[in-house]
Amino acid sequence: MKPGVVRPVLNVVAMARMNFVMIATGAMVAAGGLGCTGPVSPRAISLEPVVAEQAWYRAPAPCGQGPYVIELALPEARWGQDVELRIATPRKLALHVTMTDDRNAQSALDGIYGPEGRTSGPPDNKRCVADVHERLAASHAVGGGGVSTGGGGPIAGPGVEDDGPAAPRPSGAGIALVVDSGSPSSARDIAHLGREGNLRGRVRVTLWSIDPNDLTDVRFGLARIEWRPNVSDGEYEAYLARQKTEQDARAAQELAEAAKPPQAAHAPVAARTSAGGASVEVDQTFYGEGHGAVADQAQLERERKERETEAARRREEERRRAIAAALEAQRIRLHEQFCATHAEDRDCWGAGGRAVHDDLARHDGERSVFCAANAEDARCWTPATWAERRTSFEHRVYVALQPPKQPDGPPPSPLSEDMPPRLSQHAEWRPGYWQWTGEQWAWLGGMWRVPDSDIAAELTTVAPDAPPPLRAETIATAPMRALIWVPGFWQWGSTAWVWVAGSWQRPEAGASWRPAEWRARGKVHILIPGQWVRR
Amino acid sequence: MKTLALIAGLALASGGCFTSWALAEGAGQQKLLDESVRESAVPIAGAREALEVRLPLAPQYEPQVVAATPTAIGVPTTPPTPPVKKPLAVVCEVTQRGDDTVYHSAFRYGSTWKKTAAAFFVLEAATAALIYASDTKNPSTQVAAAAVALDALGTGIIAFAPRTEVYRTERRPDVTVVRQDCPDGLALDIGGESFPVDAAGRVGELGEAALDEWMRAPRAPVGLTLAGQDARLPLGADDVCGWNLLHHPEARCVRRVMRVDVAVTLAVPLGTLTRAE
Repeated sequence: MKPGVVRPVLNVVAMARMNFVMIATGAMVAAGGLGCTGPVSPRAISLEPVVAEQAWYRAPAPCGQGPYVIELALPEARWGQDVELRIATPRKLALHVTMTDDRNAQSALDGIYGPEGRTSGPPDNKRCVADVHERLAASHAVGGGGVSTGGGGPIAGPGVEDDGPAAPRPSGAGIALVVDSGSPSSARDIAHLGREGNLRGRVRVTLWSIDPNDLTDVRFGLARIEWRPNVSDGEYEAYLARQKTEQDARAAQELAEAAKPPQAAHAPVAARTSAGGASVEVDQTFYGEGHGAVADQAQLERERKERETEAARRREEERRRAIAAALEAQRIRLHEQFCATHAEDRDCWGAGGRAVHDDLARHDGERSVFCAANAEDARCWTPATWAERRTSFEHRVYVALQPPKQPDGPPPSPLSEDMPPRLSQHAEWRPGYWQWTGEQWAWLGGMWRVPDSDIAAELTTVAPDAPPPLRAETIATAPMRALIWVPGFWQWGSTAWVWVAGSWQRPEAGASWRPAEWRARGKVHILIPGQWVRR
Repeated sequence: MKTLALIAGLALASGGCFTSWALAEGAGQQKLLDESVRESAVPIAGAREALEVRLPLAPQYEPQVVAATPTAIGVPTTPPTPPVKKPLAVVCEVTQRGDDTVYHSAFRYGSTWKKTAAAFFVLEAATAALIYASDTKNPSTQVAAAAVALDALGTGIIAFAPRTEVYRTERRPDVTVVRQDCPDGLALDIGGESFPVDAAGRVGELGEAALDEWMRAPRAPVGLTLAGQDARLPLGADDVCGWNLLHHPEARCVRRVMRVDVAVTLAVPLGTLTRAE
């Protein structure tokens, strides 16, 4: 079958494939491409999160409602630490989570969590909860009209805690989760304890659900994130001291400004009001100013609180983003470690296993060698090189498209010119003028414009003799690129030869300059003036 | 309704999952079905660098801004302003062309394929049933339903194709557009006179006038010069006529073909035009 015949049909397949490619490309850009798009700015001094430890746990039985307890001893962390609870689940779970530390910092939440994080709808736990027939049978067994509400009933799905009530039990009686040696390829953060405060002692995480969850292949992860400065401790302390000094200075300045009297002082106004026929004069000055000051103070206070709340929210968001990035980096590191010892794992190496992976890596090496020797080959350019060159090229266009610079003021006074003798009977004198070059003013000398008809009718200057040889002229640099040098020539001035000096002139469009010349006509010589000639 | 069902059925069958797969296999385009693709591209030495310059033959105009009037109905109070012509500008593009050896590794008929095929199977089967149910007595409807059902059946079968691993090497051309500004030193040569081209491709008032003069009375060839190299612009009689008709409404000439621009390529050593300036 000819490829040309099937191409329209293949387009359908190609379009579907294109969607995958676009999604994959987007993911790649989101994952790693963003850091390559521009110049790297100098790193600001800050605290950065480091995953100090991370462990994964699984439930001891495939179905359960907990309460499951994980405890984590927290070492001293000078610059603060957070604890992040993560979950890797192939299905939706209903979870109630509490996290506490010795200071009673607490994080509590409940909801439905699926493979993509927090979600909605019922949990996928059919395997673990009794269906309606089982519940009916149970109610018959106890002889009542309803279902047992706790304390150990006959209802028990596979693996369900046989004495599990639907309500949380005291935290001291939790079920310990089993440590899992694996590391899930993807996980979601579900709870977080930290929020700019330093956690101390032990963190206790309790997880439970009203109905049992199907916990097959579900992993709970607990990560301790330690904040460390990106400079030495000493440098960071000095930085904090500077920050504090600046903050104090700002606060003092704000206080001083708040304490200042209002700029537009109210003039004392005596308002005359009528009360019971008597005239009462009320001085509103004090009332007005006092009220205004109180209102301003309250307004200032409100604004300050709003600013602080907004700043705290932003800081918290940044912290969470940084923690998520640190956890992802940790996941990649662990994945690489795992892959280093699992040569044939397809999730690690893709098609062809490690042999092909190594082969591709070897070819990447060949590429690096080639690129080291061929820096001017655009296929080898890094994003930074591209950015640098594109910026340079685009800047050239930007500069070229800028409108020409306008003069700051009027041109200088016209230069005095000696008008050479008229070149023909109907010649017109075009006086010299200042031409703006885009950078400066340049003088374009005056010249006679000789009509073609005068040249044709030989109405130009007639001289009794041939002119002297042409003078050698010193041609100055052109004041602007579009000008043409019009060479000087001898003109007969009735009694003597007059030298008409050469000058730079602006040409007519598409024309070149034909210099002046003298031609013999019998006993006399006639001038053929220079003129613009269309090419 | 019947016609619609027939068209929908045939369209779906002809573009159906199984049909597309069969065509891809038949055309040797199985690589369209690759998933989890990983590639390593090793450049082959010998990339070529070239500047392509295009001279537009039609005048370009500034976009016109039409002021909105509060009343949509009525006679405009001011006559429309004539469009403003943009300065003549050539279009430059510097490219590097070369070949890469591409090492390609992928899965075929992997999980994505299986999920997609399964989804198409369900979709096509449902469509076939709907088409059939829309008119059970009409033979053409039955044919359409059968076509879609057959495609669904084929899709159902190929969904179970075993996963295979692909590793192949191919030589692939690579064209990189490096820049689209005009490089320093580029000039338009008109009848022996040189007019510099700026970064935005403009040849200046004089260059434009000279080119227009040339178009009215062509003589020595028009070309481009760059760093000691020159190339002639392939301006034919049709192009000259086209220019004159588009720039001078009063012009009279006949042209057989119409080109929007003429292009010329100047080959330069690698790296000549691609360094940051």
